[in-house]
Amino acid sequence: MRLLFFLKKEALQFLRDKAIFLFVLYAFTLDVYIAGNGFILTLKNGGMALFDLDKTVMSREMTSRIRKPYFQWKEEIKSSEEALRLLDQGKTLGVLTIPPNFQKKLHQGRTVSLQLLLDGTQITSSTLASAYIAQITADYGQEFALKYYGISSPTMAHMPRVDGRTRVLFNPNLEDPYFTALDELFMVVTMISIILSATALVRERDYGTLEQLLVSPIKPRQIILTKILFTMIALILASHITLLLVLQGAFGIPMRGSYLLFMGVTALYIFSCCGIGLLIATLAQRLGQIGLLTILFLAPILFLSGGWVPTEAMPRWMVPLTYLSPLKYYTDLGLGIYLRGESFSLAWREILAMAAVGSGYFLYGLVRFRKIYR
Amino acid sequence: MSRESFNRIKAVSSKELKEIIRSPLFLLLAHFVPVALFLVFGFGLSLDVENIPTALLDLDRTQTSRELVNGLVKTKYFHLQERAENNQRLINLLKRGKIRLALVIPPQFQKRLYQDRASPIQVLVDGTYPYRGLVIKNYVKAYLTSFNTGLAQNWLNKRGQTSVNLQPIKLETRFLYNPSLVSSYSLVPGLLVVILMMNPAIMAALAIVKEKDYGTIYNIYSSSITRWEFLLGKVIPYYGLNFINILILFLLSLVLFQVPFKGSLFLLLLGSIIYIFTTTGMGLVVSAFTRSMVAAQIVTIIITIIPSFLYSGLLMPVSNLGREGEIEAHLFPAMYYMKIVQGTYSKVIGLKEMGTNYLIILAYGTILFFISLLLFKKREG
Repeated sequence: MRLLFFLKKEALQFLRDKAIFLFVLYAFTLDVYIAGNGFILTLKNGGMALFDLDKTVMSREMTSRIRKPYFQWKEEIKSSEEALRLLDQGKTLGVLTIPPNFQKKLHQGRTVSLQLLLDGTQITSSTLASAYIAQITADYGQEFALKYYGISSPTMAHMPRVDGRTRVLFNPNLEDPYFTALDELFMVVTMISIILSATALVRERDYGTLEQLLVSPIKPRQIILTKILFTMIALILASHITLLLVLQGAFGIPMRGSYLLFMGVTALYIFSCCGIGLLIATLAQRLGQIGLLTILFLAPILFLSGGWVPTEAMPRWMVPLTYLSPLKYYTDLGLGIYLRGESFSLAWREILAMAAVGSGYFLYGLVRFRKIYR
Repeated sequence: MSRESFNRIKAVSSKELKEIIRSPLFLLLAHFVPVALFLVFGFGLSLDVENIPTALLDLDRTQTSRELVNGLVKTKYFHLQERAENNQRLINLLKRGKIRLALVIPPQFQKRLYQDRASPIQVLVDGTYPYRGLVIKNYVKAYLTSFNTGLAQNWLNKRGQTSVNLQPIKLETRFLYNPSLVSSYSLVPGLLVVILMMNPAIMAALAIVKEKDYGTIYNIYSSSITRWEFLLGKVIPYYGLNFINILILFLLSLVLFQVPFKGSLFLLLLGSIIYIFTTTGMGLVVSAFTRSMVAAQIVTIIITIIPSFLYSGLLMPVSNLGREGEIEAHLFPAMYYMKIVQGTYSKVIGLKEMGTNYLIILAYGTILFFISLLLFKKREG
């Protein structure tokens, strides 16, 4: 009963500060929506400029294959200075140069080199663009060669060939929101649960209301647990809203696994984050330090999660550190259950690991907290 | 500005500075947080898709099937993690996210090739991370194309057509500004954008609300100081602290990360100073409209961390964002500063090409200052 009253106090405090309430709501709805819609990781309409010194039927035929949805030709240029200027100003992603006598050389059976300049500061787009254009030009060259040497298609059917039948699983059309919206939700959950729990704990001390609580019949342990319980309830509700309204409502991302398992894992994750919040609360002396401390913890947690930076691309010494980030497990599990339909029998190891890491932070925070408030 | 006005600003600034200095943890965090972020992200932030964990189910177990797989996994892009025993194992590994690519080579794979036929293999790509999935798909396709060209060339050779050149078109790709696509060259300077947004904003967010929360704001309400003098005096120490951060981060990028700096230092510093003026302004606005430190910090973190990471052009060029993302990117000053950072670090371009970015950031900051002036009232309610 006492706990219920205390829970009610926390809820009132949360709801009465309209700025907090509104921005938390924003983070769980619009922010996830914008990230899901606005973030295009795959290459779409990459702007290209053409420097065609050949201007023949073949050069046109080949360049016409470099087209939407991946590319769009922005303009045709007349000098290499112009190419550099366009790239300097970021007006195009790349410039393709076709040398003079392109068609003639091919007809003589010789090899021609094309030059592709790409903006190296745009790493992801340039990587994809170089792969696509290499494929397009190689295909074009091979088709021409087969025709040129009079190798007809019936003959080709008798050539040995490995036929790679590629199937993309879990997100067959590689749609961006599947990942971006979910990952954004994971980041929002992390951010808000850490800062809400940390501030909830330091607030009483900073305002001097902690003494009132300590002389009340509620035990200090109960104070902590109730505050964390409130954060968990509030954020599970908020995640539900995101799931129903944004992920399934706006984006229509199908839930392949068990809804209950997903929410259970989310609850466990929020608990782990509250443990980190508790730890931050013990490090901060004043309320004003929470923000910077949260960023200090949050950045490595987000970074080591493997969501944006693939674990396999990290330096080797960094990989063991990823196991300290509870978000790593949550990203694996969340995406696994939601998109890949991972069941409990496949997921239990990660769930266990997340629980262990989360409890570690929590217990350490609790020990420190007790020392301070004794 | 009159002499009294100057004195009042000075008084507020020195009070604010003393408060910062007398809270050693805050002062430590003010400089340590940017450096820590810089180190963590600078060393490991890489978007390269390499060492892709791959599993193989080879039901053919012939020389050709081994050749096919070995050729693929000896590149730096793939890493053979497991030879699976059956299909179910592959699917489980994929579902658990332990591998991102699975290859299934059916029985009779080699035999079909020897019979001069198309020989199918199954390539399963994990689509959970769309960008990585796409890159993996492309890598495998490119590899198979070159493998097939080899097969075809062999086949033609056996039939006496030795002069056939099946790849008459060569593509020479060059990545400008960052020739080897080293992620750190573009990401480390980009981190300036992220860090110099979060840090000044979160520090300044406390400037006013702190006084409201502790009740000391009543001293200000009843004093003769005007609103703009108070706000200016409040933020000046934060400009100073963050200017030091600019210098620290710039030096670290050169010395520790060895990022080449090709442009004008003056232009970078000018842009950075205007930028921290603006990001401090973001914090100030939050500080003016919130009522508690808790709210101020939560709001600032929500409005700075995610946009500065996602919509600055750090991970993704802005032109690549969808419509909503592009609007959001243009609404935040991060994107404009990113252009200045890239323009001075890697592309050597001058004020003529980048001038508008400076003006936009400056205008943004000025508007923010006026908004906080409007929001901050010298009375309750």
